Amino acid sequence: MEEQDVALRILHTADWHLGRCFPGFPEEDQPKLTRARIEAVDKLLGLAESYAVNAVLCAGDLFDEPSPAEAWWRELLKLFERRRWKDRPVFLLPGNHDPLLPNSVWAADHPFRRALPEWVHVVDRDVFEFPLSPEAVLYAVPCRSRAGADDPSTRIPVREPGDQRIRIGLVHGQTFDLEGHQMNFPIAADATARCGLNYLAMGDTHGFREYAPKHAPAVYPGAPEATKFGESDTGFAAIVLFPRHGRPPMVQKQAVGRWRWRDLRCASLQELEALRREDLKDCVIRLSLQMEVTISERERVDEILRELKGNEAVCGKAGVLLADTSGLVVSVRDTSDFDSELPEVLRSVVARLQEQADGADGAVARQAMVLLHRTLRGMERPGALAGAKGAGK
Amino acid sequence: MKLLSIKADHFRGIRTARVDFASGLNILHGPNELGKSSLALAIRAALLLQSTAKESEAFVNWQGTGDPAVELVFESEPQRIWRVKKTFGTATASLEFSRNEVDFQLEVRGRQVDERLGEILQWGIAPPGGKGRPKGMPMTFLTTALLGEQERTGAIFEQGLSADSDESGRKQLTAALHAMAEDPLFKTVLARVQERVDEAFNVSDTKTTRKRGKSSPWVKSEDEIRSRQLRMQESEKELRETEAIEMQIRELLERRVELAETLQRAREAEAALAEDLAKQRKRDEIASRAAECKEELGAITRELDALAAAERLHAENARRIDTLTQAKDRAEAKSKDAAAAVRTAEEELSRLQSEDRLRERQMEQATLEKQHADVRAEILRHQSTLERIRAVEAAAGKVSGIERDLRTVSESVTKMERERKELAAQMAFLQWQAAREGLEAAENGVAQIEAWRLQASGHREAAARLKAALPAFVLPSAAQLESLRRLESDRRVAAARLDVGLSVTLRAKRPLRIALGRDGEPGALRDVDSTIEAAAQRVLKMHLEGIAELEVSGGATDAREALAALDLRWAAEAEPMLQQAGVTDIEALAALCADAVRRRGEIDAALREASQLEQRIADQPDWSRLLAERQKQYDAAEKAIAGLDRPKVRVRDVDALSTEERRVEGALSGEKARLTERQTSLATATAELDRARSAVEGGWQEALSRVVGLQDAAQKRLEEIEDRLQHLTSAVDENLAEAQQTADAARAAAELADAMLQQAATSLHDAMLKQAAEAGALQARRDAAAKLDLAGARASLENVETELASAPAPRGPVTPESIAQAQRQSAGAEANLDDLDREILKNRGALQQLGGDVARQKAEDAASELETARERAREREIEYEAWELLRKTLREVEQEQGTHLGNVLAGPVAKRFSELTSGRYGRLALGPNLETGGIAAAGDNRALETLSVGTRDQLSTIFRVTLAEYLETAVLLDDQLTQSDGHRLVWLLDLLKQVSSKIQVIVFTCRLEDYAAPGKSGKGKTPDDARVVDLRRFILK
Repeated sequence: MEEQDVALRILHTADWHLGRCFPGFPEEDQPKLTRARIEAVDKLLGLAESYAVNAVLCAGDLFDEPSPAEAWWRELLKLFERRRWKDRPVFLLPGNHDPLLPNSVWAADHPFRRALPEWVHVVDRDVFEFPLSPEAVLYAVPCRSRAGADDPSTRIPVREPGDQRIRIGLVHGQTFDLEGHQMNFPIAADATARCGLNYLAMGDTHGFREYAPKHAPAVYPGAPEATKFGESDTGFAAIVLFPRHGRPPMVQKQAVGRWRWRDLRCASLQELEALRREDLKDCVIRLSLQMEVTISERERVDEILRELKGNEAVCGKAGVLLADTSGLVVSVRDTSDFDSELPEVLRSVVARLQEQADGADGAVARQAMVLLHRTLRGMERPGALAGAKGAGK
Repeated sequence: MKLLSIKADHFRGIRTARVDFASGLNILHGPNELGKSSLALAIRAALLLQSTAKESEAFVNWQGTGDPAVELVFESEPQRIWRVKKTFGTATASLEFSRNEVDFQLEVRGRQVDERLGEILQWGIAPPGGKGRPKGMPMTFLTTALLGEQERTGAIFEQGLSADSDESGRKQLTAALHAMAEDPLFKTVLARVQERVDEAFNVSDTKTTRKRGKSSPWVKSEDEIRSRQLRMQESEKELRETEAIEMQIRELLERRVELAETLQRAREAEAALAEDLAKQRKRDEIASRAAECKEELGAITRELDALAAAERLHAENARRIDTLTQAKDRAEAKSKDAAAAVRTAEEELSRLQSEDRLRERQMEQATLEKQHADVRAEILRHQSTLERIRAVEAAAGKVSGIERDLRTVSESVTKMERERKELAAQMAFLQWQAAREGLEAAENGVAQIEAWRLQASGHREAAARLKAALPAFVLPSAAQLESLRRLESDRRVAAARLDVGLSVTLRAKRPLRIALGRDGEPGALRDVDSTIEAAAQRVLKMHLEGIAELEVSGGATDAREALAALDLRWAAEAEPMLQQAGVTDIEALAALCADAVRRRGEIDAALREASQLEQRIADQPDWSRLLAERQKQYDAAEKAIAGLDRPKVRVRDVDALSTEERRVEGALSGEKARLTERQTSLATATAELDRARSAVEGGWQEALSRVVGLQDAAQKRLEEIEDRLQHLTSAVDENLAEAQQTADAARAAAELADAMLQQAATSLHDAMLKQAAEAGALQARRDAAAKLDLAGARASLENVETELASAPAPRGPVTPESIAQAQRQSAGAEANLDDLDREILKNRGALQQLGGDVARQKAEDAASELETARERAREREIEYEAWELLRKTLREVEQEQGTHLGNVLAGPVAKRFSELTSGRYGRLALGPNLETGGIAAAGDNRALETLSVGTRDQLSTIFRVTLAEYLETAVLLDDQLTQSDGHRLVWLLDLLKQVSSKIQVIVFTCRLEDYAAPGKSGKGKTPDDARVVDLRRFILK
C-alpha cells in the first residue's frame, strides 16, 4: 500500500499484566518472568516508532492489579519518558484486572497519572472521544470494576448519517464466543456494525484473535508475553493500517514477546538429550519426565536438568525450567553403576538399599542409592564409580 | 608397637648378641646356623614365655656358658618404652618403663612381668595362672601373625581368634579393624551424608526426629504450603462467592426474561381488551339502533297479529256455538240412559242382601275360629318349652366359653412359669460368669504381682551386678579428665620444643672407640680415628670408651624445666590415676569413665524400674485374699448352674434380664388371678346349667329339634285356618260391594249426565252473547291495521342488522372487571421486573467488587502455586528421607562390618594377593573370627591346602603384613619367602617397602639378595630406606 493511501496507522496492544507475580516458579526465575513483561512493552513501543503509527491503543489489563507496586508503574513511566513523542498519542484503557477505581493507578491524583507525559491519555470517562485526525476518531469505554454484565460497546455512539470518518472503538471485555463472557463485560458480535465502527480494538483474551467482518474487524492482539502455560498465540501486537476512501483496514500480526511457554514431556533419556540440544534460552518450560532410568542415567538426567536450569554461577540453557520428576523412576535392579571395587562396607550399603527398593518406602531407598552414587561421584575418587566414567556422555 | 633392640646371652647357639632395630624395614641377614632363628625365638621368648616355663630349658646355651637371658626393648606407643629382661635359668624377669629409652624405671618383676606384657601387647594371651593360658610358649592368633615361626609359615591359616585364651586380641583387632572399616572413602561419604541429614533431622542414638527450627526444611515446606493454602482458600472463597453471584445473576436474568415476557403478555392482553371494548361499544350502539327498529317492527307486527287473532277468535266463536248446540243434544240423550241403569242396579243389590245366605256364612266362620284358637294354644305351649331349652343351651355355651378361657389362661400361666424358670437359669449363669471373671481377674492379679516382683527383683539384681562391676577406685571427674588431657597436650608441646636438632663434630686426635646414641636410641661402639659428625633431634649421647660420656640436650633451659615440671605433674596427677585404673593413657581412662557413667545410669534406671514396679505392686489390691473369696463365690455359682446346658443359655445383659424377670413375675401373678376368677365363674355357670337341665326332660339337644318341628307344624296349620277364614269373609263382602258399586255408579252417571246437560245449555247461551259483543271491536281494529307500514319497518331493521354484522366483534366479553384485572396484571409484572432489575443490579455490584473472571484466574493461579509447593515439599521430603535412610544404612553396615573382622580384612588381603598373582585369585574367605575358609579362584572357592607352598607362604605374608599394618605394629618375618620366585619376590619387596612406611617390618633371611630390587646393573640393591643388618657382626656364637 502506498504511503499516500494510508489514512491512519495504529498499534493495538493489550493485557500487559505488569506486576504479575509467578509464585509457582522458583524464586530465582520469578524476576525473569515479571521483568519480561516490561521488556515486551518496551519492544512494542519501539515497534510503534518503527511503523510510525499515529496512535497506540492499549486495550486494558495493563497492570495485573488496580494498585500495582510502585516499581511497575515507575518502570512504565520510564519507558514513556524515554520516548518524548508528540504526534503519537498513547491511550491507556483500564481493564477488568486494573479497573478504573478511586484508589487505582488510574486515579487522577495518583503519582503515576500525574507523572504521565501529556501525550499519554488514560481513558477515565465512560464516553471517551478523541479525534485522532480530521478523518479519524477514537471512542473508548473503560472498565470500572473487575466484573460486569454490561456490554461496553453499547456506550459507543452510533455513526451519525453523513459521518465519513474512520471510527475506532477501544474496549475491554469478552466476545460472545468466549466462555464466561456473561459476567466479563460481554461484547456483542455485531458491535462494530451496530456502532458503525471501522475497527474495534479489544483486550482481555491473551491469544491473538480477529473477528469478522473483514471490512470492520474486531481484534484481540493478545498478551505480549504469556501469563501461564496453555495460552496459545500470545506474544503479539496488532499494527492496523486504515486506507483512505473507506476501504477496510489491514491488520498485521507483529511478534513482540520473547518467551515461548512450552509444556513438554520426555519419555526417555534420548528425548531429554535431544531437548538439551535445542535452543531453549527463550523458553519457559514445564517438563514432565515419564521414564525409567538407571542410577547413572539418573545422574545424567540430573546433569541435564542442572544444565538446562543453570545456577547462580552459570546461566541455564533453558530460560526457565519447571521440572516434574514425579514420573521419573530409578531402576536399581542393576548396581553395576557402582564400582565392583568399592569398599566392602559401601557395597553392603548398596545391597541393603537395593533390597529395600521394592518395599513400601522403595522410592526413598532408590533415591538414597542415587544420593550415594552422587556423593561418591562428587568425591571423584578414582575407581569409586564405574558409572562415573561413562556418565555425562 | 615396634621393637627397638634385642639382646640375647647364652641363648641356644648364641653366646651373646645385640641388635638394634630401626623403624620401617629391617633386613637381618646372615648365613644358616648363625642363630637367626634363635634370635627370633629370643624375641618371642622375651615377649611371650614365662621365665619359669619348662620350655625354656631348650634355650640353654649349647656350650653351657651361662643361663639363657634375653633383653628386649620395645615401644608400645610413642614415648612408652619398655625393657623386658628374662633370665630363664634363674627364672628371673623384670619389666622396666622409660620415656626416652635412657632412664628406665622398674615396672614389675617376676611373674607379674608376663601379666603386664599381656596387658601391653593385647595379643589374646591370658595372664599367668589365668584360665585358658596354655603351658609353654603361648601362641595366639596375633602372636602367630606377628611373630610367626619359620617352620610354620602357614600357621596363620590354622586358627582364628576363637582359640585365643584371652579376649584382648579380639578387642584390639576389633578396635583396629573397626577403624579400618571406616575406610576414608566411607568416612567421607558418611560425613557428607551426615551433613545433609543434619540439615533436616535431629539424630540421637535412640531416635531421629525432624528439625523444627527456623532453618528446618520441613518447617520451610510447611510454611510455604500453609501460606499458599491460605492464599488458595481466600481465592477459592472469593471464587465461590463470585460463582454464586454469577449463578444468581444468570438465574435472575433467566427470570427476567420470563418476567419480561409476562409483562409483555399482560400489556398485550390489556391492549387487546381496550380494543375489544371499543368494538363492543360500537356494536352496542348499532345493536341499540337495531333494537329500536325491531321494536317498531314488533309493534306493527303485534297490531296485525292482534287483528288476525281477533278475526280467528270471531270465527272460532261461531264454530263453538255450533259445537255447543250439538253437545246439548247429546247430553239430553245420555241423561235418559243413566236413569234406566240406576233402576237395574238397585234391583240386584236387594237380592244379595237376603237372610239364608247370611246364616250359612256365620256357621262356617265359627268353626274356623275355634280351630284357630286351638292351634294358637298349641304354639304357645311349644314356645314355652323352647324357651327352657334355649336357657339350657345358653348356660351350656357359657360354661363352654369359660372353660376355653380357663384353658387359655392356664396355658399362659404354664408358659410364663417356664419363662420365669428360664430367666432364673440365665440369671444364675450370669452370676456364674461374673464369678468366673472375678476369679480370673484375681488369678491374673496374683500372677501380675508375681511377675512384677520377679521383674523388680531382676532389676535390683542387675543393679547390684552392675554396681559390683563398677571400678573400686575413684574415677576422675570430667573436669579432671579435661585437665589431664590438657596436661598431656602440654607435655607433648613441651617435648616438641626440645626437638631443636643437634649437631656435634668430634675430631679425634687418636683412635677411639665411640658409641653414638641419638634421641634415646643407643649406638654401638665403633672405632674412630678421624673427624666424625653426629646429629640428633633432642639428645645426643657420645660414649667415648674409657674416656668419657658426653650428653648434649637440645632446647632452652626453661623449655627443659617446663617439660620436667610437666613430667612431675604428670607423675603426680596422671600416673597414679592411670595405674589405679590399670590403663596406660588418658583416652583409655576417659573410656573407663564413660563406661562407669553409662553403667551408673543403667544402675539408676534399673533401681528406678524396680521402685516403680514395687510401687505398682503396693498400689494393687490384696489379690490373694480376693482370689480365695472369689473362688468361694465361683464354687457357689458353679453349684447353682449344675445341670444347666451352658452353651444353650442365652446370654444377656444383667439389667435387661432383671427387667425381664420383673415383667414375667408381674404378668404371671396377673394371669394367676385371671385363672382363679375364671374358675369361680365356671363353677357358677355349671350350677346354672344344672338348674336349666332339670327343667328339660331328656337331652336338651334332642328336645330342641323335636319341639322346633312341632311348633313349625302348628304354625303351618294356623296359617291355613287364617287363610280360609279370610277367604270366607272376603267372598261375601266382594259380591255385596260389587252390587253396591254398580248401583252407586249408575246413580253417579245419571247425575253427571244431568249436570252436563245443564252446562251445555249455559255455555251455548254465553257464547251467543259474547259473539254479539265482539263484532263491533273487530271492525275498529280492521280499520287501524289498514294504516300501518310493515315493509318499511322491515327494511330499516335489515339495514341496521347488516351494519351490526360487518362491525368487528371483540374476541370475548369485555367487562370493567376484566380490564381492571389486566391493568393490575401489567402493573404487577412491571413492579416485579423493577424488583428483579434492582436485584440484578445489586448482584452485579457485588460481582464487580469480587472480580468475576479475575477471581477465577487468581484461584487457578493459587491452586497451581499450591500444587507446585506440595510437589516441591514431596520431593524435598523424599530427598531428606533418602539422606536419612542412607545415613542409617551406612551406620548399620558400619556397625555390622566392625564386628565381622573377616569382612573387613578379606578385601585388602585379597586385593593384594590378586595383584601378586595377576588376578588369578580373588576374594579370601575369612570368618568373623578371622578363621580362613578358602580363596576364590576361577569362579570357585579353593581350599588353601591346594595352593603351592610358595603361594601359601606369599598369601600368609600378605595376610600377616596387612594385619600388622592395620594394627600398626611390628611384624616379624622369619625366612618367610624362601619358596617364592623372583618376580613375586620383587612384588613382595615392594609391598614390604610400602607397609614399612607405616609399621616396622623385621625380616630374618639367609638370602639378602632376595630382598634386593633389580638395579640398572642387573644386580640387586636393597632398599635405601631399609635397615640392613649383617647379623654376623652382632651375633657371637
